[in-house]
Amino acid sequence: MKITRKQFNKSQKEFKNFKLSNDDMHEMLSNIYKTTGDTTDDPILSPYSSMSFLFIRQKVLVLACAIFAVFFGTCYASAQSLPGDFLYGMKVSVIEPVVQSLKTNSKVFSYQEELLDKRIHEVDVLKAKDKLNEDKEEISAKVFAKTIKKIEKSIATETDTEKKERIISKINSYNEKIISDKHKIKSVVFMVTEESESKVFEIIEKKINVPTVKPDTSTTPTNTEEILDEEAQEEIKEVEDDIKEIEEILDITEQDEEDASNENDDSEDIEETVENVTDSVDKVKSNLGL
Amino acid sequence: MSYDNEQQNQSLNQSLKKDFELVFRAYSNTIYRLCFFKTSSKDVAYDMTQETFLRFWKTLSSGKEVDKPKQYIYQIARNLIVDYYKSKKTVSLDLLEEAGFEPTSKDLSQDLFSEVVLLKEAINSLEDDFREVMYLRFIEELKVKEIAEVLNISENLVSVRINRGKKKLKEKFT
Repeated sequence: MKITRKQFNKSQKEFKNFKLSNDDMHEMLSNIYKTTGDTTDDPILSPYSSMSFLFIRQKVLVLACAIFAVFFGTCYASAQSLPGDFLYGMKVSVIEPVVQSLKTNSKVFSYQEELLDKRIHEVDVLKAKDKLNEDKEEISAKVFAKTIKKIEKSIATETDTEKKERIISKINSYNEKIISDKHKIKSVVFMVTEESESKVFEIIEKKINVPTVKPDTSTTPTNTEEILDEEAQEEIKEVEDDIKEIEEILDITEQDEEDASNENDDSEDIEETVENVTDSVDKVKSNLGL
Repeated sequence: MSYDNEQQNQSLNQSLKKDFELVFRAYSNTIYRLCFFKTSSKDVAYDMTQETFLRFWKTLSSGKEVDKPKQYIYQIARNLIVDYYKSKKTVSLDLLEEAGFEPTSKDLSQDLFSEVVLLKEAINSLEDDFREVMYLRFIEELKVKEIAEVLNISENLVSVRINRGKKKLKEKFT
């Protein structure tokens, strides 16, 4: 069979258009992959594929877990620490304040009580281990005093004496366990000691500008306001007693006026003293707002 | 196997697939045409093309590097065509009939367009040495260098065969 040049060129062009369709190509590809165990289709997404970031960020997650583990491990270890331990500072100045800040106002007091119990327990443990020394006592006492100060602030306006008694008993039990006297807890609010007493009187003196007499220590006032009131009232009583005495003296002098005519000058002096004392009583009363 | 290794393998497999599909889209039609031209059957050409790329994919996925994919694919296709004709010769029609095969009147060349038949006849009328060179040059429009690479012969030899083939083809034109 003979072919013309034209026919050759035409058939050449026509033959070039002889191609596989897209479907054929896709089918062929999937056949190839199927034979070798692969697949052309997109992989079916796992229902857990949204969690795939966990695997992508594996190293980051491991690092985060390590940080958390170290953080919580340190917290746990510090919670078990005793005064003088490396992590005790973290316990009392970081963890406990943070925990306290998370408590509601109504529960803060009970948490503070817990902290006092903890301090007492810590001293007990140290004693049991025979590791209680001056330094550890100092650390513990400082922390205890700090907690007491916080409680003083929160309880200043409280009228509930039960709470105050509880705190006093805790302070007493702590002081019993402490060996060194200088580390014993002294609270102006909860416990009247010689030191705190003198401070109270200083305050009174400043307030009423009259020298005060210390009260009988057997009657322990419960707070500063009470101390102030009692002191002032005692002062007034004393002044009033003085007036009574002077008045009695005056009565006696009137009866014996004739017999004791040369004592006129003295009675005038006494009257002056009475006036002065009455003025001072009025002053004290006005100062105290009575 | 650790997760990292598995992930690496997966990404490697993905990149291999990408490369393979690029080659497949570039040369699948060429191979299909070549097989069709040689076998005159669309089905056989389709199967051969698929087999060619299957072998190519197996080579890639086994980790072997293929520097010249075009040449490699052509070589596979040519081998398959040779195998096809070898197997055709060995199959006896009597044996096939005994096995229940009924030969139809369908001519092998019925898939070919009339012009392509002419083209095929024109090229096939050339001597063996010129057929492939002429086909690759005038049907697939490959360059001399590319034909030399595909057929694994020198560029000079390709040029000589093209010139002589042209002259012989001209002689066949009316």
